[in-house]
Amino acid sequence: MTPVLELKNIEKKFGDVIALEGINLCVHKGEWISIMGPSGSGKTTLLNILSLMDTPSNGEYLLGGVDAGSLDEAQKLVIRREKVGLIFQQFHLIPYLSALENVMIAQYYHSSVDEEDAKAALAKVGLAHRLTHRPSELSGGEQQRLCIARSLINDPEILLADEPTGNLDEQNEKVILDLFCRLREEGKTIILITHNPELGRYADRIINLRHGKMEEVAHA
Amino acid sequence: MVANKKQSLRSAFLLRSVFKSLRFSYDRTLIIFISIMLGACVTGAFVNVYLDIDSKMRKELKAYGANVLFTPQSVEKSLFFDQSDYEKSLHVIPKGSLLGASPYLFGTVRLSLGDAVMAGVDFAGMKVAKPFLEVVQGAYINVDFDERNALIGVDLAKKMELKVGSSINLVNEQSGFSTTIRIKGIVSSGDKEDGLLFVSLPLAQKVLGKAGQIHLVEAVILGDFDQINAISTELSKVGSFSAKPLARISLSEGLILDKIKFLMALVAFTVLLITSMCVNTTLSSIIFSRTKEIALLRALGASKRNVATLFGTETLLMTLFASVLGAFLGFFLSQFFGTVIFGSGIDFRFLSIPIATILSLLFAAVAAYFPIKRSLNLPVATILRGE
Repeated sequence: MTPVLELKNIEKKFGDVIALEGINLCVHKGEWISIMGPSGSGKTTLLNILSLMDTPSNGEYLLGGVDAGSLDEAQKLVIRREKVGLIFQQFHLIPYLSALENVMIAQYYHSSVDEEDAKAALAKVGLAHRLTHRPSELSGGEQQRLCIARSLINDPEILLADEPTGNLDEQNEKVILDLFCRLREEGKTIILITHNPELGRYADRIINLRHGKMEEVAHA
Repeated sequence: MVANKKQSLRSAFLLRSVFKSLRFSYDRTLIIFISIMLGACVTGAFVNVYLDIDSKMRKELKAYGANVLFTPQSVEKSLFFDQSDYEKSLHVIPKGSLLGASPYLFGTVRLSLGDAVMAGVDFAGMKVAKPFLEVVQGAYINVDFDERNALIGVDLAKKMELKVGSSINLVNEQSGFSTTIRIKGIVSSGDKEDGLLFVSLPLAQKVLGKAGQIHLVEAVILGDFDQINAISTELSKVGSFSAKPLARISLSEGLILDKIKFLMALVAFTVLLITSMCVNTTLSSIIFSRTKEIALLRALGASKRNVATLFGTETLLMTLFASVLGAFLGFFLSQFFGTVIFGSGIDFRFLSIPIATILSLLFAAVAAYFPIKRSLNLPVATILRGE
């Protein structure tokens, strides 16, 4: 079976600084991978490469069997729209739009807007009663669930999450964790960056990064 | 059909987002709106004044009096020309361009205390041709062919000891014609008119025995120097006289108008430049505060074109409303300018609306171009990471 994504000897340099080196990773459909490591270890750089927001300095990145290095900006944009759902630690919600519209904006840049689909996505994350609320009127946990609903609306193959519980309290962290578990059950491929060992434990595999290198691959 | 529905849903969503965005940052939106509106308002006002200034200024400059002089073709042959030729020639002048004209016939008459120079005139026409003539006592004669009343220059009145209401007996010794006229008003210009006796042209022709003859005509014709020159040439072709523009007045009219128009264009340009700088600064600040939003949209799959469309639509909506409103308000501002400068309103010119709107939109577009362009080259990953 073709892996959902595959990294072959990826290297990323910022000037003289090596952010990533010798990264090899193969992820299959429905897998939950947790990338862990201390600050500055290259976790976010790796996530940016995976989401096609950044390009590796060396190595090969195959996304659905396609070499990402051979794609131009427009093609990368299409793949990002179609295949990838992004979840951020800082939520990155548009402050002047309602919860419903924050989901619909992802539909807008994907294909067409469908209010009923957007409502269903919000209902799925338990925000059916918050459709017209603006992000500032939502709690941190609700904002993150809104961010997840937005990432799911276009039914992406891969969910890339950068510290999704980093700004949440324990109770909300549990809600988000449950949500990820349900998404895995639905067959979503999840790549999650976290400092949180508790969150890491739920993954199928844990990748530890240190100084830009993969130290070990542990099976949870 | 389905594709159309999808497209209309997308367009409706874009507009909804744009209006929400404008409302959300209403304070900065308001600054841009007011800047553009003021720019369009001043531009609209100046365009209105610009389009109306020709007639306004020319009417103002007509206070200096006649700008075309009709004289005999050859003074060596005759000092007179036919009044009928002058009257025939008037059809050459475009309709509405002749503000007024008066023929003149001069001659010496004997009064009780001595000789005086009498001028036969068209009183209504002379009022336009010699607007500087001031009535110092009595009243002006407003009837063209009043043969019972006369005006007298202030110096002559003093010399002849004549007052308003005094009677003068005018006699043509050759024909035996005699009449008595009454002084209705004493006039002054501070110039040669102060030594003249003004009577109606037909009366002067009878007294001087010069029926149908005149010495000269003074006329006030609307137009710039070139137009007046062309009209004068046409007039001269009609008969026994030659018409010439009084270059001193007509040329200076053109020069003053050109300078005023240039000054107005310069002021309008400066205002628009200041407006666009204000728009540029404010828009830069808005876009700077929305870098995360732009980066997010790019991360969600928005192309550079999508982002440019979003900000372009926001800017266009804002500037379009502000420009059109400003252009209409410009008419009222032009009324203020008209009242303060010319003492009368300025005619509404519809052309001022599209001109002011398009100019304001152009300046706003230039102002918006660079901030939007900068926003498209933001490093998405770095911004979303919060670094």
